[in-house]
Order: sequence, then C-alpha cells, then structure tokens
Amino acid sequence: MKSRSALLTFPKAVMDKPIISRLLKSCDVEVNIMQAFISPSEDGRMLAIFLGEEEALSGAFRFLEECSVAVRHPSRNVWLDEKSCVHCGACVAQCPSEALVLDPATLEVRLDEEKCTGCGLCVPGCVYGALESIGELLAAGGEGPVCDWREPGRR
Amino acid sequence: MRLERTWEEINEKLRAGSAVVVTAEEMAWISRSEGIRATAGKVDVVTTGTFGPMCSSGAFLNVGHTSPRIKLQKAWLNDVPAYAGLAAVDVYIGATSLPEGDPANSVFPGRFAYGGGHVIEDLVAGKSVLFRGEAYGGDCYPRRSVEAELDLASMGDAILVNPRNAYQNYNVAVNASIERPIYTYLGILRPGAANAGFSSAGQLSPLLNDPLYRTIGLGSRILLGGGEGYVCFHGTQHDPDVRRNERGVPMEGAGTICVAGDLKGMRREYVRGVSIRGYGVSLAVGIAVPVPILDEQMAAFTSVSDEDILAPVVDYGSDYPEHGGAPPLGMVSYAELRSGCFELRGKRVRCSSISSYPRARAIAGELRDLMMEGRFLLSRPVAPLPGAAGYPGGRPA
Ligand code: SF4
Ligand code: SF4
Repeated sequence: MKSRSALLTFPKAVMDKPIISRLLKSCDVEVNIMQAFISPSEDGRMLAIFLGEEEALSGAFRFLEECSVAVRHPSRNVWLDEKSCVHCGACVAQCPSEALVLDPATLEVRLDEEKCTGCGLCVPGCVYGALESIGELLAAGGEGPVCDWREPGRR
Repeated sequence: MRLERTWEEINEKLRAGSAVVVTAEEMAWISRSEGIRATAGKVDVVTTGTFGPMCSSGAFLNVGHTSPRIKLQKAWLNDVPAYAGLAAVDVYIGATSLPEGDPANSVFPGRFAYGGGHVIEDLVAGKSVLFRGEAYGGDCYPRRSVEAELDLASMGDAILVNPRNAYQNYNVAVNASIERPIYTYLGILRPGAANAGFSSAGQLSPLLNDPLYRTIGLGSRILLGGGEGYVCFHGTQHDPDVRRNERGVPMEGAGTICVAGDLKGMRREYVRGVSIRGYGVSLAVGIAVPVPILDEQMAAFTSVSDEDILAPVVDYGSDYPEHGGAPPLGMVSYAELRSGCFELRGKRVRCSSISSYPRARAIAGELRDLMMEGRFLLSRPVAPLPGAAGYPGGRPA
C-alpha cells in the first residue's frame, strides 16, 4: 500500500456529480478527506490522502482527471488552513524561500506553492494552528476529521 | 471658529444615522489629503481596533448549581485547571493555564498544543468541554465531585476579563546575543538579529489614537471579541509616564486597559487560543474602541499614521530576560515594520508580527458600520485612566 496526498479542484460544472463515490466504486483505493471547501458559487477544493497500490492510485487520479477534476500533488509539505489563519504574517519571516508572502495591499498572507520547498520551517512559527505539515498528518495515521479541520490539540 | 463637539451631540447624530464614522486607518488617509482642520469638521467618530495575543486574559464562568449542591475546590475544563477559590460554582479559567500532564518545555521547544486560551475559544465556537470538579463537602454543599459536558449556552454566566489589553505601543524583539534560535512570545528569533517580532496594530491601535487618554476611560463601551464590552479599569502595568514624541505618542509600552464583556456574545473570529512554541499558550482577542472627535486635537491624534509611531528594538536574548534596564538597540517605525524588513545598525532585519493587522482592521470596520447604523452609541467615561490629560493630576491637554 502506498499513500499520496492530492489537492483536488472541482470545477463548478461538476459540483453536482457524485465523483468521489463513483471513484470508490471503480478504483481499489481508500480516500481520506483532510479538508474540503465546497460551495455552489465557487470551484470546490479538497485535500485528500489516497491509499492503495501504485497502479490503483494512478488509475484513481486518471479517473478524476477524466471527470474534469484538477489533481495536484503538493510537492510542498505544508498546508495553510484558511479557516484558522488570521493573517498575522508571523510565518512570513520564517520562510527561507519567500513562498509565504504578504499582499502589500490587503496585508493578507499567501502561500506560493511553486516556490515552497516543503522545508517546514514555517510550521512552528504559526501560533494560530493554521499551518500544518502534511508529513506529520500522514505520520499520525491520516486520522483527520472529514470535511473539517481538526480541533486544536485533540489530534 | 473653534470646532467643538460634545459627547451628547455626537450620540444624537449617531441615533439619527447622520454621523460620519471612519476607521483610524481611513482617518489617516483622509486627513493626509484634506488637512486636519477640514477633517475635524467632517468626522464625528474614529473607530480603532486591535487583534493579538494578550496573556493577561481569562474568563469567569458560573457553571451552574448541581443537585445536590457542590462548593468547588478544584476544577478542570478539558483537563485544563481552572481556579476554583471563588464561590460555590464560579471558576476562573486563565488563558495560559496548561492541561494536567502537559510536557510543557521538558522537550524544548514545547508545542503547547492546548490550554486555557483554547478552552475559551472552544466555548465561544459553541463546542462543549468536559468539566470536572472536586470538593470537600459540607452541610449546605454536600457533593464531593462532579463531571459533565458543558457548553456556553448551558452555563449561567461567562465573562471574559482581560486585566491588561490593548497595550499602547510595545517592544520589537530580536535575538542579538544567543547563538541559537530563541522561542519568545513575539516569535522564533534567529541569532544575529536576523529577524524581529512585534505585536501592535500601530495606527489602528486604540490607545495610540488617544495617546493622552482624553476620551478612553473607565466605562467606555467597546467591542470585545466581536461582542459588546467595557473598559472597566486601567490595565495592569499601565504606565503613562514613559518617553513620548512631540505629539504625545509613547515611544515604548505605555498605557493599558482592563476590559470585560459577555463571552456569550463573542465570535471565534476574534477569540482565538494560541500555541506559542517554546513559550506557552495564550489568548488572542479582538478589540475595537470608538474615539469621538471632540475637537481638532482629537482629529490630530486620530490622524496618526504608522510612520509617526516608533517602537524600541529590544534584545530578547539578554536585555529582556535579564530586565536590567539596558537601552534599546534602536528605534523603528510601524511603517517600516509593516513593510516586512527594516535596518538595524546597518543590517537588514526581516520582521513579522504575531498580532493581525487585517483582523484589527476588520473589527474597527465592524464597529464603524454598527455606529453608522445607530446601533452602537458612545458611552462617556465615568473616571479617567491614570495620567489622562485635562484631569486633576493628569498631564496638560
Ligand atoms: S502564521 Fe499562521 S495565522 Fe499567521 S499568517 Fe501565517 S498561517 Fe496565517
Ligand atoms: S515549508 Fe518551507 S518553503 Fe514552504 S512555506 Fe514553509 S517555510 Fe516556506
């Protein structure tokens, strides 16, 4: 069994289709949803961890792409939880790669996935529990709650 | 003609929905383009805001009587000890309290994943917490132990009290003397003063917009944690007699306020437990305070911008922990701090805050909107803060 994390983007047009349940019927994989943002007015986003044999995993990602779901495998190792981030900017000064940047107009923090090396140095710098290392989540057995973020300190 | 407005006149306008209310950030922009005098004529109230961790926080909870009755001697919420030496079922949960058995800093730097601040956040978010209590028993309070899942709705009263908050200016921390990263309440500081941490809303901060405490005092109605609250006293460590610039703006930590409000009216957005690596847990709270533009001087005070506010750079590797009164390494403005880096003794220092400017802006904006709609009126202080201008024993206005 292998595990891979994937960031899925569901275009508005496919939001009403039961894509994940079809996927589970047709591919031999397990899916653990770490976090999901679903709203009828926006593209849906989901961070999930897929478990299965190599072949089943690539089959599953192919299936998703055929359903117009964009699949990205974060090379980065961190996850910024938008519901917990207060945009203090404390993480910005910890990041050696300038992947975390403050928008000069709104003073809100953005994570530039392309620049992130996954070093994880920013994680302990966030006091609001909004930065999580995906590696640590996987190591904890992927026991994240479905469609919600973990409660602070109760993992 | 001298411009003057009374508290009553402004409240009349607020009630009628005809008052002009702007945030402190907007005030700085407006007066920069139109001048202080014209702006003073236009604007009735300026709303200020701040959001950041402040350890001096906690909540008084009345957990309700049991049958048979208990007079609590020890109490825990989600395993975090609360102080029970009050009355039968009143407890106080402090923001920095740690759960029983927390490893704290035994493996340095500790994570401090959960504590009193998180209990308060969980309650505000509508979650239930496990309450445990112990007692010695007596004739009128026979029961000796209790255990129950409690949420905010099931409690009698829940009052957030911050004996110290809204610090008027504060230190900027660097590590200039320890050859490893140090873990402080202003962030993780790398050696050689490579980065700096700070915590203030600067030009939006309540007491920086009323530097001589002319309008903020005991009894001022405010927004606390997103709900209604009050300034109930001067805060602990309130020190009006620090160095100030020619406009009266303190150049280091100065005034503070003690605030209280009903936890039941607050929102998680503005009440957040924080886990500060290697330091401990705390609570971040959002506060918004209205400042009436009684005259031109108040318009000038509230027009303060980040360029005009300087903060001292302090070595948290030695000077701060030793508390020996060493002079600061330098002074830096909030405009520089907000830009993400500043120069200290010819070297570039990256900096970041642990308080949130966008959240401070948001709560000041909420108060502005409430006031414009006539849903939040000014309350005139019943007594001044120590050192207030224009009061007996205070500084000259
Ligand atoms: S440190 Fe945490 S809360 Fe602050 S901006 Fe970064 S992710 Fe958001
Ligand atoms: S993991 Fe490293 S590179 Fe990526 S955002 Fe965090 S500090 Fe920057």
